[in-house]
Amino acid sequence: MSDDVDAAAVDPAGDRAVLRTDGVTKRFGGLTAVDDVDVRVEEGEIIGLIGPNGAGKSTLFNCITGRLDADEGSVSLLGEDVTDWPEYKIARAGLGRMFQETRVFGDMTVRKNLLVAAQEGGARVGRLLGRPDSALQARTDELLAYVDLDGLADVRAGRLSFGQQKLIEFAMALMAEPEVLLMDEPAGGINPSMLENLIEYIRTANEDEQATIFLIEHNMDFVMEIADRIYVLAHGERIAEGPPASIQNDQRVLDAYLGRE
Amino acid sequence: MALAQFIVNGLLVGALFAAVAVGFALIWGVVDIINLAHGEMVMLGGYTAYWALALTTGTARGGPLVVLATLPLVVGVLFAVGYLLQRVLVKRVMGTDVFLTLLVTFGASIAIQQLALRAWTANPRSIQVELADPSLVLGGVVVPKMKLVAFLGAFVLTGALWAFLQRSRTGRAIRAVSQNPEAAALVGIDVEHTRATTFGLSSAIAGAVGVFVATILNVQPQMGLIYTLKSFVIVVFGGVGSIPGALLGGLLLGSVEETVAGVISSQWTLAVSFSLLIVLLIVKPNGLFGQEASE
Repeated sequence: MSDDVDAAAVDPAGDRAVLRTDGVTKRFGGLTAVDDVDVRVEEGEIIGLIGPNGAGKSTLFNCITGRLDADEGSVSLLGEDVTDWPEYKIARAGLGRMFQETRVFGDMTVRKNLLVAAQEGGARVGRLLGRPDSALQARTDELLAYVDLDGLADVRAGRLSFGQQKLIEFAMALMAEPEVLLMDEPAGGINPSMLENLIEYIRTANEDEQATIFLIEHNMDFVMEIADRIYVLAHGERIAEGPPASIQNDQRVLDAYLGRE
Repeated sequence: MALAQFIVNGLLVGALFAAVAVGFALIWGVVDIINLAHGEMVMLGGYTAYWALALTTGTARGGPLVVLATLPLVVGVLFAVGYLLQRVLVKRVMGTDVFLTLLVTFGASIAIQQLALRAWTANPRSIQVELADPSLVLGGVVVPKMKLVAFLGAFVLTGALWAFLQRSRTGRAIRAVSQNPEAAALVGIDVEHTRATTFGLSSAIAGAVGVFVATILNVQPQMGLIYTLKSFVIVVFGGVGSIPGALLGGLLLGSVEETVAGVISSQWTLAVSFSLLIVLLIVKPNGLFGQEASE
C-alpha cells in the first residue's frame, strides 16, 4: 500500500492514530466482504461506520478485533501491529467491543460481570487470590450507579431486559478501561426514550473515560449527531469519508443507500 | 444396624466417586466435552503415588503422612496431563461433531490404558498404609480408617475446587468461559488456556482420588472405565454442570449401590442404579440440581 495517499500522509512522526487498518481485505469464498479498506481513528475521536446491509462493516470489525484473520492488509492498535494477534490479546491491549446482541454472562450477577471484565485488564492487586481490591469495587459501584443499575448489582444478569443488558455490557466495556471501544449498533433495539441517555453515555465514555469510539450504526440521526467523522462502506469498499455534514450530501453515499451504482 | 453399615459404606465410597464426577461435570460444563478418558486420570494418579513411594522408599508402604505427602506431586503431574490432553488433542475437535469428541477422548482412554499395561503390567498394585488397622467402630458401625481419610480427602478436594471456582480470578474466568466463550474472549480471557486449565484441575482431582483408591483398594491399568461410567451416571443424576449436584449424586449412588449389594446382591447394583437413573430422568429431566432450560 506504499502508493496509498492516505497511508503515506500519516505515518512517520506525530501519528495520532490509535487504530488503523491498511488495505484490509477479507474474502469468503468468491465474495470479497471487505475490499482493501483503510481506516484511521485518532485519539479521542468518535468515528461512525455506516453502509447498507452487507457492506462489510461487521466483517471489518471482526478483522480488527481478531475474531477473523484478514486475508490481506494490516491492523494496528496504539502503534503496534496486531494483525495476527488472538482476540483475547487484542482485548487486553486496550480494544473493547460491544455487540448488537448482548454478550453478558447470564448466570453471574451484574456485579460479577463487571469484575470479570476488569480482571484481565488493569486490576493488579489481589490478582492471585482473585480478591477484587477496593479500588476495583469502588469503580464497579461507580459505573453501576452511572448506568443506573446499582439497585440490580446482585441480580443475575440473564434476568434483566435487553436494554439493561446493553447497559451492563457498556459498563463492562468501560471497566476494562479500553483505549478504543468498538460498538456494533449501540442504538439497535434500544427504545427511543433511552436513545438520549445512550448518546450521553457514549459522550461521557469518550470525554471522561478517554475512550476513542468507533461505532457501526444504522440510525442515521444518531450517528450524524454523535460522530466527528464517518466512514462509508459499500460492497466491501470504502466509498467515502468525512464529517457528517459532507457525508449527508455525498452523491456516492446516497447512491449506495438507494442501490444505484 | 446392617442398613446403617451399608449406608456408611456407601457414603465412604460414594465420596470418592463424587470427587471424580465433579471433575467430569466441570469439563462437561465448561469445555462442553464428555471426557471418556477421565477415569484414566484416577488410574494415573494411583500409579504416580505408587511409584513415587516405591522409587523413593523402596517399598509401596508408609505412614499416613508419607502417603498424603504424595498428593502434591500427583496433583501437579495430573494437572499437566490434563492440561496437555486438552491443549494438544481435544482442542482439535472442539466445536465439531459430538461423536468425534467422544471418539477422540475414547481413543485417548484406550491409548493411556494400553501404555499403562505395557509399562506396569496388569498386576493390581496397592499402597499399604501403616496404622490403618484395626478399623474404627463408631456406634456399632465399622469404619476403616483409610476409608475415612479418603472420604474426608474427597470432601476437602471438592470443597477446594468449589472455593477456587467461586473466589479466584481463574475461577471467574472458568465460569465466564462456561457461560459464554465469545464474550470471555472479548474481555481478554484466553479461552484456550482457560479450557486447558479446567481439564488440568479436573484431572488433578481425579488423580488425587486415585491415591486414595490405591490405599483402600488397588490400582491396575483398566480400572478407569468404571470411574468414567459412574461419573457419567452421577453427573446426569445431579444435573450437568452442577458441582453440588455431582457431589450429592455420588453420595447417593454409593449408598444405593452398597445397600443393594448388601440386601440383594452385588450383581444387581448396576441394574438398580441405571433403572433409578431412567426413572429420575423421566421425573426430573434436568437432574436433581440441573438448571432449568433457560427461557
